[in-house]
Amino acid sequence: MRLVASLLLWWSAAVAAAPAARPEIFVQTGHGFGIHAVAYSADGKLIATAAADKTIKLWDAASGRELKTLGGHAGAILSVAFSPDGKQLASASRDKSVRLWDVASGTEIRVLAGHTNVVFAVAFSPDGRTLASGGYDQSLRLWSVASGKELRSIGHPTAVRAVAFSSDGQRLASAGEDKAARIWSIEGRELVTLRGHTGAVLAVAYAPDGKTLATGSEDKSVRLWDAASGRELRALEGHNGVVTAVAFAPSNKLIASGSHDDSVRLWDAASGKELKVLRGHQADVTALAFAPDGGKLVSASLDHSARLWSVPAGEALFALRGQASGVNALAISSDGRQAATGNADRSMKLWDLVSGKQRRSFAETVEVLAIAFAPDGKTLAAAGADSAVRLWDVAGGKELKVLHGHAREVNALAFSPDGKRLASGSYDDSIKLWDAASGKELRSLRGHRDSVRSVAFAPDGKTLASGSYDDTIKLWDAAGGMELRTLAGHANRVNAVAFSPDGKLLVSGAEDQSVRLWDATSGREQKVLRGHSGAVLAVAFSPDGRIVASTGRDRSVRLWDAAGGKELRVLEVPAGRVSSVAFTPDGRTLIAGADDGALRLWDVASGRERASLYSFRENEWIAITPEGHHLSSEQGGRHLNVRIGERVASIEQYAEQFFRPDLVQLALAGAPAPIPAPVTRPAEPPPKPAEAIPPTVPEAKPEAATPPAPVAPVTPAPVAIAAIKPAPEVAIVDTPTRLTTDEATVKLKVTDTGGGIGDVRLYLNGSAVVFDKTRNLQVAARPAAAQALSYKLRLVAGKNIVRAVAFNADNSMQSADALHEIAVEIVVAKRPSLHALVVGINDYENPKLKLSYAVADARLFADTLREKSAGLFGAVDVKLLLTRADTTKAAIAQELKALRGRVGPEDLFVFYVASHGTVDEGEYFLITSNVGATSTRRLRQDALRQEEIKDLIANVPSTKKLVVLDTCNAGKLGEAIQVAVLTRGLNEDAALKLLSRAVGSTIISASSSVQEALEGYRGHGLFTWAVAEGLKGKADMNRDGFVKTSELADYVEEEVPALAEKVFKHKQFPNTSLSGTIFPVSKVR
Amino acid sequence: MHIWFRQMVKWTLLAASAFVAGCAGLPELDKVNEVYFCAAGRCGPASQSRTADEALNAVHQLFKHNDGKDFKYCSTTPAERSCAGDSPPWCHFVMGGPIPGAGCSTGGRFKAVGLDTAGRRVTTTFTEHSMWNGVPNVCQDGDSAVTVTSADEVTVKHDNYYCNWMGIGNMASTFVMAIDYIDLDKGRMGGYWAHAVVGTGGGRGTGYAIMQFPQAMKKDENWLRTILLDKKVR
Repeated sequence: MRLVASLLLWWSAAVAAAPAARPEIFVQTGHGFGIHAVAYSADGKLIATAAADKTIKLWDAASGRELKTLGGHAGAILSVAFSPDGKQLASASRDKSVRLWDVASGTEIRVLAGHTNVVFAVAFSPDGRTLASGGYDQSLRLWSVASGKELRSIGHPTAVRAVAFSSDGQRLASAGEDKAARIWSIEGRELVTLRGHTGAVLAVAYAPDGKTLATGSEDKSVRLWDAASGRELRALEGHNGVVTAVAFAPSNKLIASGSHDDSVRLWDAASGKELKVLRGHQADVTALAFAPDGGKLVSASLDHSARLWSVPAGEALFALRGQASGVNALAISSDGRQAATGNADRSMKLWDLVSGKQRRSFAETVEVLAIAFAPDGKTLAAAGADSAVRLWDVAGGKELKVLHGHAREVNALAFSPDGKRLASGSYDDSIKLWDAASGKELRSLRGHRDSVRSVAFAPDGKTLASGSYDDTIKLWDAAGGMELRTLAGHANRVNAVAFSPDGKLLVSGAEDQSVRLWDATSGREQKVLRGHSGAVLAVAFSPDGRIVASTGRDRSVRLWDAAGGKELRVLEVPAGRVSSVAFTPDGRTLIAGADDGALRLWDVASGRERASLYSFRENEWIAITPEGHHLSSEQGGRHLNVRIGERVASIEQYAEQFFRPDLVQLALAGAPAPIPAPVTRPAEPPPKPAEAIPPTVPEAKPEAATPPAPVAPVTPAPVAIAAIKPAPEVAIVDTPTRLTTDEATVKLKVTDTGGGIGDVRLYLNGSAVVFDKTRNLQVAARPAAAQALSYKLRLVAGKNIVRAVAFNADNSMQSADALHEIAVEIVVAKRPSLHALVVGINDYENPKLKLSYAVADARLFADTLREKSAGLFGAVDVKLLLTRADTTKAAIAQELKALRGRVGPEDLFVFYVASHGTVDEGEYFLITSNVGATSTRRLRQDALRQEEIKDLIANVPSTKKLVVLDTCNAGKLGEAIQVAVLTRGLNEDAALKLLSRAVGSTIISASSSVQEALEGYRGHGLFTWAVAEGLKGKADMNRDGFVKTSELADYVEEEVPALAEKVFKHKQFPNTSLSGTIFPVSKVR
Repeated sequence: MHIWFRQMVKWTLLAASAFVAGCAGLPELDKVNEVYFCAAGRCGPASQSRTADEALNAVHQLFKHNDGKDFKYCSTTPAERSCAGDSPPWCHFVMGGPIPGAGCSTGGRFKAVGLDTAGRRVTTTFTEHSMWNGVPNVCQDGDSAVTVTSADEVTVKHDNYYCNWMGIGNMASTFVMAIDYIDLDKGRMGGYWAHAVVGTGGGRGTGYAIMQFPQAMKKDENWLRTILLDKKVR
């Protein structure tokens, strides 16, 4: 499943001749079904998994990154094997076919048809010329790999569950359901029958030396056999379930087995002793494969994952699986600014549809099946598998009420238009009406004979419609609770109902794959809309009532003309199930939620995808445009992959260029996709825009809730992903893993892969400690040999995780991480110190930039820090820079550089600035006192540039860094920011987030308005005042007596907008970015 | 029915069945790639969320709860999978001697439901309620089995059974159904059927039908609970 960025980079063909080099951006979804088979390529670089979802996936064995999905089988895939040269892959399926695939392109080479029933197993001969298969049709078949012709069919006494070639390719072993394994000559002569198992034999493997055979059986045992004589050598007992998989390590010394008891076991091949039990899978283990070097083992399971284990230690390394948190339910706030989703990972997500940020994740205790916004947008109702309905405060994220009354899970929720009542539909066949304010149950509506799946209030609030698994729709008097009418017509379960905005029509969607339109007054069926090829799960009317949208299991969203019933557009969704659909209140955007964790937003008129908002497990997320511009949580980018040709990288590796919250915001606002940077020549014209839907699309109405969409953005042309040169490869080599001193030399091997070598960065426990900009090697015609680099690092006592990355020559793409752990065994004699550099600038070279409260703010922050941090650190060293002389660019840079010698890795470093800050021409500037002219050229010369701040902070060797920026964007600079946000590129939030991620520090910042800067609050800037209050104790959310950086960020995020609203009558949203280590910064008790 | 009549039918049909070598030339079944499974208010592809154990157990429970009760065949489409009161039975053309006609099955009854864990089958005997040109046939009980090869592959197969039409038409029947829909909440199994008869009447046909059982899974029951704790199959 993937997001093919169809509009993405059409021009990429110009830089890469082969169409295969077009970038593809896709989410790592993994298999959504049980995995039945797994195989390692001979070079150990690839892993193939095959599953009941009818697909094969190729994974990068080193990183666990999903590379490719191979689709073509029509049934579950039960076996997969790499050819010995790694170029081909064979698969066997329930669809009775064997298929051959080209690994490089992922295309199907041919279908080997002949089996008359399910094919359970395939194996390549060691020379790669012959393929063996076996199946339920009681045959073993040999095929020519070159021609695809069936060479031989060998009758087998029973179904064949597994096959294996001997290492010399002369013999073939089969596992049979008659409790026996057999050895055959490749001519088809049965040589030996291995009897001893007391259940069907499901797995078979030859030892690499060919002398021994291992089998696994329904009788829960693994048995070893002499391959020549067929004599049973040993039975390995230990599993508590059917043994489905066996594999020999390349060394011949180890055997691995997998079972329905969810475990993998390692056995000593010589003694038969059980060495390790590997636990982690949540369901049957179905297949196993050793890496060619024997150092790793991969196991596949019906729990939808494959897991890698170290061998022989048996430690779990990582899992090959998707991280998406599937969307079950969707609601849009009435102002169109927010979307809420109920997700399969027992959470609810709140998205800001203006910025693309995921504002909040609410942890639920059960899977959320239904969700609804109150009309005022302040309350969210959610319900799921535990029969309770919960009301949440949207702003604070707090649970307000729990409504008990239903006996079973709740499938549907709807607020009445006036927000006073809430309706819920349940698996207990009832509908309940609740008083939304008090949570009191008002009425229980009974009449449906099966589960109630959907509820909807008519726009006048007088009628309630319900759709049920009893195949009917019922209309109810919403006040009295009387059943008014039953609408029969659907042939199977009704999943969804919605009223037209004028209340005259009702639309429904059902398991019978139809959408139906009904006269809401008479209950007469008006139209049946057919087109879906799977159950219809959700329906919605556009706000003007002219369009009906429907979604379902057939991976599509369909738009219909509500008047004529004509299908207007089909939007394909590369996800298993599209569970929900909604229009924004302005009717311009259609949003659908799907199993792959995405909320996809389309422009209704053109059908163009604007952006996708993905939710992943553990509260990670990303918002991404079809062009690849994105905004994400700290780790969210890791789950989105970019493939260019055969190269696959995380979108995170392109963050320096493509982390563009400003462009995400533009896309969400409906601006056309930015025109990419010109390249040598466009190879082909851009794809034609999809045909518009003129007769039915509402006119785009200006809407106060969303920012105005610029007509012609003048965004600097973004660089195309395809044009970016590859990042080098980095490895940490010859570096100790254990030390008794606090200093280490970390050695890197950096290999140019064609894009040159640029900056090198080292992080210690998540914080940047070295930014080496001395390289910047030119791109060589041929990639240069590996560069050896070494850096001295000061370490902390205990665990030190060193992370190294290197950039390509133009610093546009970074390498995958190289990680190394060093254990330092030293006794730390003193407590860590706090070093703070606090800067407040009221007076500037340019008098128009004068501020009133910056110095006072800096003093307040410094005093608070001194007072509240004293008990926490061995020493508190706060340096205040307040005068014009002390706050020039040079002076501040010098002080930051001086800290490099004083600050140790255990120490805490805080950098506070109260001044101006701005973004100009896509670059962030911190305005220092020496700034006079504010032209871009002069700012670059006189102010502290983003890159300079990054270097200065990164090279302070502390592993705990906090940056607080209270900046004002007054006058010319303020206007510049407003323009920059919408038209000119990177905004301040994005710039600071990039900075935070780059240096591994927590950054809390705010850009106050002119009004705030001039008026102040209690003699200070409002933001610093809130930060100080937080440090003094108000941010101690968990009441443990300490304020941690994360708590301070949360407090400021909550408090500042509320305070600004109260004082200045408008909201000010601070920017917080948590990166690196979370640590306490003040002690309040 | 007198014993002599039964015997006569049996002998006649045995002779006929020997003549047709035990298989009445079933037409090819439409392929099923996925079983759609509904239980406890949730529907979806069986292999996404159900093990073969659960599927086998679900079928076993559905048959066990309907042991000895008449079920109804409804001819429908894979999209609708409905079984309303006026749904027609499944039918196909049968030539009864020189007379053309429609052979229809309105339903039947499964009895003596058992579970063969090794064979992954639900075993039962089956009585068919069939008609030719609107006149009910008299059919013998036959053995039947539902084989759950995997959550994705479930097949109903009746061994050859014998039916008589008004004492003069004797036929041997063969029936296979590839299941693509198991709905415990509504007490339904659906799929593509293939049927053939030989004897004094001859014909064959295919189609899509639902078996509507009188007893569905109640909301306080769990027919999915695996009883084959150590006999899991793929």
